[in-house]
Amino acid sequence: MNHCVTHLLAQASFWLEPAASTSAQEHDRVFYFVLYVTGFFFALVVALMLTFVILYRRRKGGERTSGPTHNTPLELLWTGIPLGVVIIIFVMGLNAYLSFESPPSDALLIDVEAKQWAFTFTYPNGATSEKLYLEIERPVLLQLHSADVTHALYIPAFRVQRNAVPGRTTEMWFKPVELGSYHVFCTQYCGDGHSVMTTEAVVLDATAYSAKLNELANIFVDAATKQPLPMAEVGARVAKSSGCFQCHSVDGSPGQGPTWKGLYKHDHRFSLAPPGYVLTTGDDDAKWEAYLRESILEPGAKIVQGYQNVMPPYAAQFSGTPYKDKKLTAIVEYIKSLGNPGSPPR
Amino acid sequence: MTTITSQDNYLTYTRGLRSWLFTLDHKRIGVMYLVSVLAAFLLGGVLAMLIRLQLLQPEGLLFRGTDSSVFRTYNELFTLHGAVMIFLVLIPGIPGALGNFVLPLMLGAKDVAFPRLNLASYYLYLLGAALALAAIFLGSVDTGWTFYTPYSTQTPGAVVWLVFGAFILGFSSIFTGINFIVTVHKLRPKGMTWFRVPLFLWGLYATAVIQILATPVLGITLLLLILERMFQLGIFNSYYGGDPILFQHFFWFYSHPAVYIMILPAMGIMSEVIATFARREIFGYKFVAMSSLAIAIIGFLVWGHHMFPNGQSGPMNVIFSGLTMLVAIPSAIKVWNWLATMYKGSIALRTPMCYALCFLFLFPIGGLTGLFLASLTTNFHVHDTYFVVAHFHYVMIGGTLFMFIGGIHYWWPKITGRMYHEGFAAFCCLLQFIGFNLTFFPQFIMGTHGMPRRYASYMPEFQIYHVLSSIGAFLQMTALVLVALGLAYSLWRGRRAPANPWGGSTLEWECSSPPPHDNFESTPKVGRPYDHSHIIWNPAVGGYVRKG
Repeated sequence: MNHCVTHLLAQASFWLEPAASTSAQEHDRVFYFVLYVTGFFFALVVALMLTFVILYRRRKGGERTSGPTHNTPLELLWTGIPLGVVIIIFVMGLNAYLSFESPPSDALLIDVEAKQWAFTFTYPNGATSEKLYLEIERPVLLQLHSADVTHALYIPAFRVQRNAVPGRTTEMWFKPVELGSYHVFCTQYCGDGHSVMTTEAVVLDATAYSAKLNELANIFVDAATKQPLPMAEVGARVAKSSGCFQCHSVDGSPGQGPTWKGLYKHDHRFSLAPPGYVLTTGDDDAKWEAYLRESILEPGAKIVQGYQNVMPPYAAQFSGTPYKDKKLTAIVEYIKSLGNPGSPPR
Repeated sequence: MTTITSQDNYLTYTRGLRSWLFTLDHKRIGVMYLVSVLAAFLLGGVLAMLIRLQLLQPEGLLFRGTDSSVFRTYNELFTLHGAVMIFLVLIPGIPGALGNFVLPLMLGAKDVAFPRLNLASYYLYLLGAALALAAIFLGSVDTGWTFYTPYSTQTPGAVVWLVFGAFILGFSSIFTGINFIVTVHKLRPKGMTWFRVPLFLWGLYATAVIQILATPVLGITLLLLILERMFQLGIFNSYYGGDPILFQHFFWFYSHPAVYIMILPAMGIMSEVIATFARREIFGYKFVAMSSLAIAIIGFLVWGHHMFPNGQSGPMNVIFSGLTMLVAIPSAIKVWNWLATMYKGSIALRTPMCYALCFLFLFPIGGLTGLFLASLTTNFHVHDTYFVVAHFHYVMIGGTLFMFIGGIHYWWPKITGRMYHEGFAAFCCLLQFIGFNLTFFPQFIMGTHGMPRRYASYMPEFQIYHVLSSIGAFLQMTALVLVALGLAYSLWRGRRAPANPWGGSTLEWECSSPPPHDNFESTPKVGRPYDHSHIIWNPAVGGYVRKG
């Protein structure tokens, strides 16, 4: 209907950035409607005020006043008109809100972790990034959660905002319709770095997008330099994203499982192991690596003295494909890098 | 003690510091409130200037660096600016200072119903303020005035002190509220029916209702926050099994109605000033009076709009959006009635009226932009951006503080017995109006362009708006300093004020300026509150007198 008009107006940049998502287009329609309606009433108030001030200014000896002291129909009229107006505004806002309440079934699911003071976006293929990568014309459903305090993810060009609340998962969805790079802000005050908790949302076409996700999924290559990363460094990331550090420390502090610090090539004692199996500082790399791989894929095979057999097997995550195997190698390399034969693990 | 003569007024009735510190006179308590609130206002203003200085440059002018810990000082600044302005200036300002002074006078009474409770309320205010200021100078608080959990339970600093200060200030507010409700109920003179109560008192009455019903919720919330912070009970912190959103619900259940605690008394002053300077009976008195109560009631039901984007359920968002729209209606009714009061009036553009006209310009902007925030679609864009900052400053400064200052001018002759320089005061009002709009209008634009609030640094494209805003803020500060100087000068050189310099028709203009200790020698006669026909100019006294 008047969509064309408002679309034209939406290009004007005095009030709003160009709309880059379907929700932004819908938002701008409501925004300009409210702006013109409220603008009209504001102008009316100021015009009446100025008219009365000029027309009825106090003149010499003119302190006599007339005029009615009340008029119930008039009162009801100017109660009713604003009431009607706010009902219209309410319904407009409600309609647009409801049309954006439930995400379409083909929406791409992206997990958002907010923590002081950065966002981490995780895509369905396991790739993670600090910028938000989006595909044009492809609806996306963001699931937000927080690792510490309350944050909010806000993308002005898409007119969307949602809080990331500790202990809850919140959702929002939208469909980007313009290629480009847009600001992403944290809008819920979250401490010292609140104002630097910003990143970008990058909208790509379909080809570039799948290439980007593959590149992000390739954790063995530095995204910026395209150079292979050291395996130990990749291993540290894999270990972190796999939750290893919930039980294993890397600084020697005690945990549910043995610390990784100084673990490599240090004499081990087992409470459970095949008869005659020993593992000492003098054993070669191959034997040590085999032990570490086994302890990740089949943790119950050998149990270090003083620890319980509680770790679940990780065979599904780290074996079966060359890619998974390479991740396992990376973790092993990482543990090796933490080895320090001089000091015993606690 | 000097002998009491008929020439004595409340200022000269007794002398010495003790006579002030232990006074039970509502007028002296009002004056002490006024001085304290203005001191807090100065502090809050200086903090605002520091904020605006920092934001002159995108990377920050005062606190900058690669490590984000440099921004902590900025975060403390906006926390303290908010806490001081809200808890020490806006909430106690008009009721504590002007309300205390004027309320019994408007009733033709000698004092409020509970003079000792009144003094206790003032000392609780001082104690709460002292705790809050101790938090500023002995520790540091960077939670924002909203104290959102779990950040407020984790950040180091003197959060507990500031929160406890706010808790104490809550009691001060409750005491004032109880006192005003009882006073309006019990001390009305013969003939002053409920619909002959001056509208400033309706405003104070509605405010008092909110104060005594909502403030206890804040008190409990703040205590729970202190316990959570000290003992990790697991009420608000999800890490211990609590719910951060619960805190937001508790907090806004008070703090949204508190917005009406701040604006309703200002609306009351509007009605007084417009009636007096248009020399008209207020148009639609009953609608204006009842709309104050409507605001107080509906204002309790809208708090959820502060939580639209935090994952609150859809139906709740819809209900709170609808109720928030409704609360706009009573305010709209008031605006139309004030305009209608000016119709066919005899409008004198004295300084208080200038402030009232500023209100009629600024408050609609603040109120109407509230509709963008109430609408579900637009809220998700402008929530927690500078649009919100601009919106509530238009209501709280453009509305409440403009009428607080307007009210100070209106009752200045009554309080001090002196007239200020009219032209200079009106000029200051204009300067303030320009400075105010220059400060806050650009903030609407940066808000709709996506500038988040509470940022110590920002994207370069927002700089132009921030620079305009800062210039406006410095202009406003200048104007306010000039206002203060002008008023201070009048104490020294101002013309002696007549009993009724403006032609006001309410009872406070019947006693001399400044009023005697006991206010009235005999209880004045009560008629319709805004009947100006019998108030006529008398050149001999340089003021208005009652005919016959």
